[in-house]
Amino acid sequence: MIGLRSKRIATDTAIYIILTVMVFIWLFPLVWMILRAFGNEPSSTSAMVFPEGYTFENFKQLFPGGASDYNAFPYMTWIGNTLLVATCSCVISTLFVLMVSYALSRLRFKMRKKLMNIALILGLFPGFLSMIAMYFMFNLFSLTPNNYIGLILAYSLGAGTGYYIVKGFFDTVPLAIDEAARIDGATKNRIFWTMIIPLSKPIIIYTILTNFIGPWCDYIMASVFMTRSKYYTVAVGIRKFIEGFNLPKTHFARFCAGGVLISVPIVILYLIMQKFYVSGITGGAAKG
Amino acid sequence: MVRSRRVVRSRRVVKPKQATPTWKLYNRPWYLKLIFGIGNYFKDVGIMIWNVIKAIPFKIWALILAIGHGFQGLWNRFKNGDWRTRMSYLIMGFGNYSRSPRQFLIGFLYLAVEIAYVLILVLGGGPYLIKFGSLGTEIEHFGYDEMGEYVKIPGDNSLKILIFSVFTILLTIFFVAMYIQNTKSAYKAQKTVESGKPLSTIRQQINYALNDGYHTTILALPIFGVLLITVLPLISNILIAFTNYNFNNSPPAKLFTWTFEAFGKTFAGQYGSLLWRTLGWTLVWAFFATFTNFFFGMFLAMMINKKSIKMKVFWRTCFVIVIAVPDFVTLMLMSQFFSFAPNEPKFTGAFNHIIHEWFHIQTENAGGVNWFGGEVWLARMMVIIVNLWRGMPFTMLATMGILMNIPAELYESSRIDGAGPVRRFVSITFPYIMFVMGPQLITTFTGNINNFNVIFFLTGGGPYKMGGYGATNLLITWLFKITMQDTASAEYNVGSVIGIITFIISAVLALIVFNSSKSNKQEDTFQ
Repeated sequence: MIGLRSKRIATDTAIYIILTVMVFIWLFPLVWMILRAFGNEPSSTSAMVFPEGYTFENFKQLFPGGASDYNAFPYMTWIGNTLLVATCSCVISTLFVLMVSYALSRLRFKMRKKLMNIALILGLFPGFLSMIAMYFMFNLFSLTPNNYIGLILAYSLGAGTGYYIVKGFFDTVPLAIDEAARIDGATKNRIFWTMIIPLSKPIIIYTILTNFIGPWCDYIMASVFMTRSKYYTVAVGIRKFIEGFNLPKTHFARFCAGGVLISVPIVILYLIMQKFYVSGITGGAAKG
Repeated sequence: MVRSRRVVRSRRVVKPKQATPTWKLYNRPWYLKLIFGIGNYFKDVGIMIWNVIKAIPFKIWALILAIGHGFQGLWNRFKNGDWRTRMSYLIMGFGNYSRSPRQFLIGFLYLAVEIAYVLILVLGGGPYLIKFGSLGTEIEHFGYDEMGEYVKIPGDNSLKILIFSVFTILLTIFFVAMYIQNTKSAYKAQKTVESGKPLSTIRQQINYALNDGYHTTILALPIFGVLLITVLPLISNILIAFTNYNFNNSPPAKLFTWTFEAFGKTFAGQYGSLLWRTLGWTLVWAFFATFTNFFFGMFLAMMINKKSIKMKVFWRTCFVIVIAVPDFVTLMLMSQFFSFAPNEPKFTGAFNHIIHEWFHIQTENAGGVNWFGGEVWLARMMVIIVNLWRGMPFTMLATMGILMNIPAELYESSRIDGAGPVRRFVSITFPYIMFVMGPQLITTFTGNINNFNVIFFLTGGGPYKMGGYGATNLLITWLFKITMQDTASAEYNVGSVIGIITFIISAVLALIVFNSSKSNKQEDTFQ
């Protein structure tokens, strides 16, 4: 018995040590970023790992009038652009996702299975493949480059293929609710807006958050669609701080400050959504 | 007794389809079982690919039959219809609005569709569709206009012709569907009148749109969006592969036309050796990126999930923070963290400082190691390691969710039977995780084939070698480079061929996921 117990203590200690080392490795770069954001050393390639003195200067430079070259790196404008694009596309995407999920979960019609197959397959392709043609297509209507509407449409119009998780949730809402409402004479339209949606608040919050974070964190589409500094989203803009050979030597601390500033709200959102994420990644499979 | 047993038997028990083991696995050590298990998994994937390919001819035949069936119905309704029904073959909706004011709304909707389609065809789509065969003949040039002034006269825009033609063709398919629906509606109205029943009122029709026909109402906009934003660009992009569209003849100044040269160029010529090497690395990368994340994430989750380990939430949150920070921030940060200044030990990146000053390791170059831009194998390994840093918490989260769902009785009974921890992992935990994560693994694999951000932000495809070969370029970053980055020498048609290759790989994998996802078949379980 004693042998077993000491063996267990030994394994546990080993696990604690491994976990501590791993957490150290995993968090080290992030801690480095935060310290650098508050540091007085602007270059990423300095003589020190951590800065020697601390200051708020880097954060001040992100606001108008904080730095002499603010007009070249208008961080607050980028934040505004990102907020605008992410909010608008989030509204459209969420509506589309909810509509498609409801139709595929609650309604029975001839093409249903086929539509589900097609949507699933289309949804697995990277949006990247259609991006170039989309760029030129939008270009013909002058929706690219440098047009917010073009970027919003590009993010949101195709959202219907991402119905999978929400449909899984709708599937678990009892059909008896629908049937009771049908007997009382409610149309399917009414059931959708006044019964299913209020019942599905958690999954709707999840959909809103993912559809907001998506455009917020996207680099590639925004970098192709927006070519002028005034129109950049944060992801594209922040890269300008460290692009090329010389900028990391002068703007790296500002990059860190900007990175910290946009990461904080997203990290908070993420920690809130953790449990949804788990059910999302394992799909419907976990419940079956 | 007998009766009740029959009842139980007749109920279909839904069992997960299990791989039929071809190797005799009993009496073998656990590691062999593990290896064979993984082997069987890949064998199953192979069988699934074959099943999908085998089904294609049947699908095509079914499609042809369905189209034939549609035309037969069209002809039957024309044969049996009265003159009003037959008129609606020419003027859509006529069979509806000519019969009763009650059918005005639906009839005029059909008429509006027809008018809109004809207008689009005449004003926009038609002129483009005519030039679809040649993709334009007239080059932009200077000349005299009608007023006699010397101006720049715009020529044909090949790209515009291509995209609008595809749009018109998609629109035509939609129109044909509406047209068939129109004949059906007219025929139905005729039958209703003949049988002496009243036609449906406008209120009833609106009620239908909100009730029995609600799927059409609610799906119309999202499907339109997907067609416009995903399908149309995808088809256009595929068609560009069959043209000679590159920097040399890009519109509006120049014309491009149909040719197969892009395929020859991509597979054999200038880009041939680049393609095979890039494709090889893409698959190697996707394999390692997927499986390192999977195994390390699984073991991490099991460590945190061990009963006697305390502060589970703390450990988990530490790792989740890493994925909560947007990946463009963390990846750009990493590229600077590992930066390198040749021969300048004072001004090199943070990680080189750490190995110099904290661990006192001497490097060949006084500036440290060039992590992302030096040796090919090192850059490749670094990309996989950083991806592990970035991606492992995802697997950890998912696995922790699955581990919580494994019934505790399984473990207890196995403990009573005297199974050790290794045995329990091989026989219970691992199969359970694989059952849930199996389809997910293929999705992750597809995601990694198209993992643009990691490569783009860390190495930018480099280190670059002879002939412009980027050692860590994936197909997708390479595509981006030769179309969107090197605009002065852009090869759009080659880019499209690369896109098609990626498309085919993704498509095959996507079909496998779809065929193997069980939840898709058991969706009604909880209703």
